[in-house]
Amino acid sequence: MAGLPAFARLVAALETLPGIGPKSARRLAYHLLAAPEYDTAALTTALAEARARTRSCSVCHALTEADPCAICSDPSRDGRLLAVVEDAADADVLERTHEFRGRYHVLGGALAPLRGIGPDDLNVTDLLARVESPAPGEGVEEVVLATNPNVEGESTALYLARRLKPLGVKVTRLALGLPVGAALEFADEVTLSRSLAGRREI
Amino acid sequence: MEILTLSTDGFRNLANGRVELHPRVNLIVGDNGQGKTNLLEALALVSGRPSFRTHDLAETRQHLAARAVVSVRLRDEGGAPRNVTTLGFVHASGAREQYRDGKRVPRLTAARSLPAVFLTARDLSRLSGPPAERRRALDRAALARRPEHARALLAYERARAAKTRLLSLGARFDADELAVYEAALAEAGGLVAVARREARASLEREIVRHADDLGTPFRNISLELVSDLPASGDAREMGGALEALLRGRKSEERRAQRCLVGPHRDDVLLRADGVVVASRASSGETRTFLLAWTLAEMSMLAGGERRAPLLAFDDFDSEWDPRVLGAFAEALPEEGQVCLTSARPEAVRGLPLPAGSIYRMAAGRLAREGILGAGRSPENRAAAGGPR
Repeated sequence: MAGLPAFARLVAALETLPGIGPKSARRLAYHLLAAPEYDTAALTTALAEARARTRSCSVCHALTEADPCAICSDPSRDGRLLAVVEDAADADVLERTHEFRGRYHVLGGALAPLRGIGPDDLNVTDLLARVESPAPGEGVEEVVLATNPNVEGESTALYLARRLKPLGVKVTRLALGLPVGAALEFADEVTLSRSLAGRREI
Repeated sequence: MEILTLSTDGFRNLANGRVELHPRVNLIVGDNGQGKTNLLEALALVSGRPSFRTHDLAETRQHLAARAVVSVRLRDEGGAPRNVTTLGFVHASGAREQYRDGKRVPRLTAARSLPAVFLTARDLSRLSGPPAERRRALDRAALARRPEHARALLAYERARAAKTRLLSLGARFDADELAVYEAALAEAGGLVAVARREARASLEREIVRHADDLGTPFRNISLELVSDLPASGDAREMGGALEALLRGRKSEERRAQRCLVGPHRDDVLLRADGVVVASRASSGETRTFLLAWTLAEMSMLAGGERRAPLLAFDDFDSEWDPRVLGAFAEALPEEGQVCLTSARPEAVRGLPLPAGSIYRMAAGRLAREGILGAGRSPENRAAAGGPR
């Protein structure tokens, strides 16, 4: 890319995106610049606009254009139920199930001491405040810990449970187990033992 | 389990391309620095094991090569010729990848696909050196018995790293956060402790049997696990004991800013007549015990996987006298592939090795040089073979 410093900067910028490696970044950059029909202006406007208009909700930290967000300000949502998720995208996924009628709290990540991420780097203090001194019409009775079922997510859930229980609130964890439509013989031992531990009466 | 071919590309000084291996014994001879040990290292990496030479795998990549690649084609015992599995190892841009039949797999899957025991220069200090190598050897035995031991070990090490990190923050860490990692330590530590105690018993039994095969003058050989945790109990009890120990040393650990108790401090001592072998036996006798330990690991792998493991023995004639090597050759299991390296082709003369091929390694190129006759006596073969 000698003699193309602007192009190199574009590739470098694209490479910082999640899931984009050096090869994909180059392919995207070539596509953006070489395809004559490609409307770069529309992309840059959309990007700038989205960036300017969306911010994090002051209550739940999910992405929103109006503060507080649509879910936090919806009176029909069950204020007694609060789901704690790692990222705004996770709240979105839960929302698509149409099963959950409570509200959300986005942590903004998970505990990872080896990468220097501690409780102070996550939205933990607000979560505790939200449970301890509820806003009018909220009054949390149950906190559903919906962090990811990996090492960091599990540690985060255990940590939050330790902090939340003294506040006299019910703390639950999303069930871990077999994926729907799968066969037992293909489940790994850990998943299978987790689903045995979390079995329920029918 | 039998390696049919080994291919490398951009790996150390080995010539790019493919070599065929003999199903039984492969003796690789050549002067120092020609690539004999590199070939064994390639086998270690492709089978998901750590390198016995370096922590920095970037060293295995040839100068100017974009990546180091090793692959082997394997055939299952008694399997049809078409029943072939391919294992692959790739090291590129700082990351290690393992493949099986073209699909990315965890290292443990690669290790289970190709059970193998390595004996190299690094192992010579196992009995007399620091405890880490002995712990690793015990963990290999535990893995041969139960592959899920790997998961507990990893969980333990992760929790320990997280806890150490928090302790290193001094007074600024969150006590609830520390408690989370201590709970994880206790849970995983309990599993590790139980697996090591079970493995110790089987390993001791196998070492005693093989030390006898090799004609050691010692009797009353035992393998002792030196541990902060109790000698017996189930995973829950061990975990509870570890929790109690952690509570007791809490303030000490905060001062030291690291983990002071737990299975990461375990040691394994091999004793003969009550005395630690490394301190009492001559160095030659100590090395004989190392051969017994190697045979013991092979038996455990064969028992766990019901497949004879590969034995890779680097510089096999340099540290042992011919009598012990003869007994070792006789004690080799009836099946399973063996790769031996030596600087002296005449080293195998008179050794009762099974049939095989002799190769010469020169400047990274392996060329077949001759055949190795079956030198085993029928009565010894009967004594060494068969299910025990």
